[in-house]
Amino acid sequence: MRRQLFFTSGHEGYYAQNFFDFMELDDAEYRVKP
Amino acid sequence: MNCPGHILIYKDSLRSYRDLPVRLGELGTVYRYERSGVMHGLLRVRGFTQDDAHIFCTPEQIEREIADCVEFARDVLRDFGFDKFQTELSVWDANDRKSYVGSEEQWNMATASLENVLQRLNIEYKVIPGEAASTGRKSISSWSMRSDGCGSFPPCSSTSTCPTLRIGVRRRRRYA
Repeated sequence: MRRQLFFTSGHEGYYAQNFFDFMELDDAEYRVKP
Repeated sequence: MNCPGHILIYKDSLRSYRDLPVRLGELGTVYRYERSGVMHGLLRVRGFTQDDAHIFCTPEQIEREIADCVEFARDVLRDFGFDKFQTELSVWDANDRKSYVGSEEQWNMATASLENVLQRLNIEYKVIPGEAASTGRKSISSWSMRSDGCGSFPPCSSTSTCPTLRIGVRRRRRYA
């Protein structure tokens, strides 16, 4: 899923240390669903 | 967590209040890099699958939806032989407002809805103040049911948390 979604949800700011690292594909950032 | 995805699906088309409730469910596999020792109760480390659902509804529909979910959870647990339950109702801490988003009315509404249903279904429960939680600042009241004696495997000798049901009242603003 696009990383931007987790900024929108608010999870990125609080829980990113518990997520697997994001990856870059075709100039966009993605995460496996945490 | 599957909530952001379900919210995207919900908002993908124009909705009328007459479409509500909209119920979305998923066996969603999630992947986490949690430090060992962080999680209690469930055995989970790198990846697990959540039997997860989100219901979008009006305030008037909340109690009916909760009751249906509670009944459904109990039916499923009973089918698997769990028949002794402990129920916990997690509520906010009115003395610690800065840790919570949402107004007092919203918190009272969420808690009262859960409480009304539990009482109507004759379910005994323990109120846990300050346990309500969600993204960062706390925004959700929850109900969870624990079951004793979950058999020999997984090796959880005490109790395990099974279904959790939560009411969120602040989501829509973030995704607007």
